Amino acid sequence: MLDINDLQVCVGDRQILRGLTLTIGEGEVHAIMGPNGSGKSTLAHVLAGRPGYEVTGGSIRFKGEDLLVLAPEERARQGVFLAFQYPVEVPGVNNTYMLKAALNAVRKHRGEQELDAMEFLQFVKKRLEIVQMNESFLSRGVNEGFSGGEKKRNEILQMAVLEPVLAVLDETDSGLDIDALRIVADGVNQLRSAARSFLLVTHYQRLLEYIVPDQVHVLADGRIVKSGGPELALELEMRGYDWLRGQDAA
Amino acid sequence: MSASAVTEHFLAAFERVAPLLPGAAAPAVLEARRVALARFARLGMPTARTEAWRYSNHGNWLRQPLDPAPVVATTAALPGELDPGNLAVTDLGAHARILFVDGRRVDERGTRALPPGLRLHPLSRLLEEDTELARPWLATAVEAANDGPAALNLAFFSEGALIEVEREAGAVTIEIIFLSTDSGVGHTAHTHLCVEIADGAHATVVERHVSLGSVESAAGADVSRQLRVGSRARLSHAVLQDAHPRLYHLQRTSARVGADAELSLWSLALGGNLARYEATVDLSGRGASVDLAGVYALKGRQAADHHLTVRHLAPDTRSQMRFRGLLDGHSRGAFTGCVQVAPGADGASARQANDNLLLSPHAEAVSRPELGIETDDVQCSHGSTVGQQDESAVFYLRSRGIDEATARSLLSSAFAIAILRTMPHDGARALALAMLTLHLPQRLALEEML
Ligand SMILES: Nc1ncnc2c1ncn2[C@@H]1O[C@H](COP(=O)(O)OP(=O)(O)O)[C@@H](O)[C@H]1O
Ligand SMILES: [Mg+2]
Repeated sequence: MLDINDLQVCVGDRQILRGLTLTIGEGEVHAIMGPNGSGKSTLAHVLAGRPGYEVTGGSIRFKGEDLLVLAPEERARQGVFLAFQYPVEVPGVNNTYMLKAALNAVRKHRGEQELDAMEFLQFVKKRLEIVQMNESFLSRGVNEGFSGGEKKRNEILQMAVLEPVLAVLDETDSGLDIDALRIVADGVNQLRSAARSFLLVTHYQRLLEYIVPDQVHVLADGRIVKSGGPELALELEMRGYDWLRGQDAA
Repeated sequence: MSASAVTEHFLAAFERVAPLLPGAAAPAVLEARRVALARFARLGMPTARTEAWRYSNHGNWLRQPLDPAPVVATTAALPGELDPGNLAVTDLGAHARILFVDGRRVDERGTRALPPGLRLHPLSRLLEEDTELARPWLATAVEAANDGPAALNLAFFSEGALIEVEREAGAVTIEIIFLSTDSGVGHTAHTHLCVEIADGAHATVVERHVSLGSVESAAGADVSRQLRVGSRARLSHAVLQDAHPRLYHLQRTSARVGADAELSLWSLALGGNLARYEATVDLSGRGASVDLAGVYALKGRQAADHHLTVRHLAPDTRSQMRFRGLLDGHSRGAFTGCVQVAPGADGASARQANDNLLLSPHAEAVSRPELGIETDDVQCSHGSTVGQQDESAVFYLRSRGIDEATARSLLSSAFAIAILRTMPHDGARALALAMLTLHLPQRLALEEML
C-alpha cells in the first residue's frame, strides 16, 4: 500500500527528514510517535503534497506508483487523505459546498456518477452520525469559528465522506477532551476496513487505547528509530523518548 | 489635447448639438444647460493631478475625452437582434423596466401597467412637455455639479428618467437596463436619473449595465443620478455592471436621505476599461442611515475607482461602507471613503471597511479613508486590508481533491460573496451572483455557497 524508502526532506535549507523508511500494508493501522519537532507533521504534509517541502532523496510509492509526482488533488483523488493537525479555516465556503465539491472530484476520478444536492445530503447525513455532528455544521463556513474539538471532528467527517485508501491523521487526538476523543476514535474504528490503511501521528499513548494499531514507530531526528507492537506505546509513555535518541532503527 | 483645447472642444460641441437636445425650446432647460456649460468652462476636465480623479485617468482619457453622443430621435427602435427577454438571466420580478441602448431609450412591447403610486417619466419627454416638474431637479443638479464631468453630463444629457414612488405603490422594484452596443463607439452617452421616494415609501432600483456583442473601440457611458429618500422611506439601489472592456463607465450619484429613512447603495463593478463610481450621500434627517456596499472584480488592464462621501448632517445618523476588491492581471482598484460629520450631528456612527485580494503580483489596490469630524459625540471606525490568497487554504482544499484553479476561484468567490450575500433584494442578489459567476474563470455554483 505505502512504501516510504530512505526519505529525505528539506524545508528551506533545513533538513527535517533524514532517511525515513516505513511500509504500511493494506488494511493496517500504524502509529507514529515522537517528540515535538521530530518531523511527524513534515511527513504527513509530504504525503499530502504540500508545496514548500522539498524531497531531496528517497521515494514514496503508493499502490505501487510514485506518489511524489502527483499534485495534492491527484493524491486525494487516488485515496490519500490527511487529517490536519491544524485544520484550516476557509471563510465563506460552507462545509456542504466543500464536501460536495471534494466528493464529486473524487467520484469523477473513480468514474462514478457525481451526486446532486439531494443525493449528497442523503449521503452526508449518514456520515454525520459517525462523528456525532449535527446538520447545522454543514451550513457553516469550513472550520469557521469551530472549537478545537469541532475542527478535529470535521476532519474525520471529511474522511468519512471521501472514503480514502490511506488516511493520515496528524495529532487528531491533541486538544480533545475524553468524550471528543472517544467520538473521534469510534469514528476511525468504524472506518477501519481491509482495504483502508491508517497512519496515526500521535503524541500520547492515550489514543492507542481506543484505536489499537498493528505497529508503533518512533520518529526522532528525522528517521524511524524504533518500531514495535502496541506495547511500545506503553513503554514510551513510561520512559519518554530520550533513551531512543541517537539509536538506529531496531 | 491640451486642457484648454479639451474645453474649447466641448464648448463648440455644445453649440452644435444644443438645438437638438430635448427641451431646447424651453428657456428654463436651456438656461440650466448653459449654466452647467459655463461651470464646465470654468472647471475644465480634471487632470491626473486632480486628487479626486488621480486613479480615474485611465488610458489618459482625461486628455482625450470622447465626444458627446450625437442627438437623434430619443426613442430608438429595438435593434433586431436584441430581445429583452434574453437579458433576463434572472427575473427580478420588476414592476417596471426601462431600457436604454447607448443612452437612448427603447420602448419595449407589452409593458405591464404600473401599480398606482409608481410613476415613470422619460426625461426627454419631461424636458419637452413638463418643464415645471423637471425644473427643481435641474436646479439641484446644477448646484451639485462640482467637477467638469458632472457639468458635462448636465449640459449634454439627452435622456433619462424620473421615477416617483408613493407609499401606496407598496414595495416596488424598478429595473433599468443600460446596454452598450457597437453603435455607441467613439462617443459618450450621457444619461440622467432622478428618483424620488416619498415619505414612508419603499422601493428597489436595480440597474444593469451590460454590453451586447463584442465592441472593438472605445466608448463612454456617463450616468448622473439624484436620489431623494423621504422620511421613513427605504430605497435600495444597485448598479450591476459588466460592460465591454473598451467602455469608460462613469457614474455619479447624489442622494439625500430624510429622517429615519434608509438608503442602500450597491456597486458590482466587473467590466469596463474604467469604472468610476462616485456617490455623495447627505444624511439630512435625524436617524437617517446609508449602507454603501460593493465588489469590484477586475483583470487585464481594467481600473475601478470608487469615490464615496457621506455627510452626516443630522443627529443619530448612521453610515456604513463595505467594499471588497478582487484584483487580477494588471488591474487597479481604488477606493476612497470620505466621512464628514457636521457640528451638531451628535450620536452619529460611521463604519468603513475596504478589503482587497491581489490575485496577481501586478495588480494594485489603493485604499484611502478620509475623515472630517466636527463633533465629539461620534463613533467612527475604518479598516482597510490588502492581501493575497491564503495558501494554506488553497492547499487544504486541494488536499480534498479540489483542483488548484477551482480552489483559488472558490476562495475568491467566497471573499466577494461575503459582501454580496447581504444584498437586500433577492432578485438583485441572485443576478449579482450570476454575473460574478460568468466573470470568474471557473463557473462555480455560487448560489450554493450562500
Ligand atoms: N514550513 C516550515 N517552515 C520552517 N520550518 C518548519 C516548517 N515545517 C516544519 N518545520 C520545522 O521542522 C521541524 C519538524 O516539524 P514538524 O514536522 O512540524 O514536527 P512534529 O510534527 O513532529 O512536531 C521543526 O523544527 C519545525 O520547526
Ligand atoms: Mg506536528
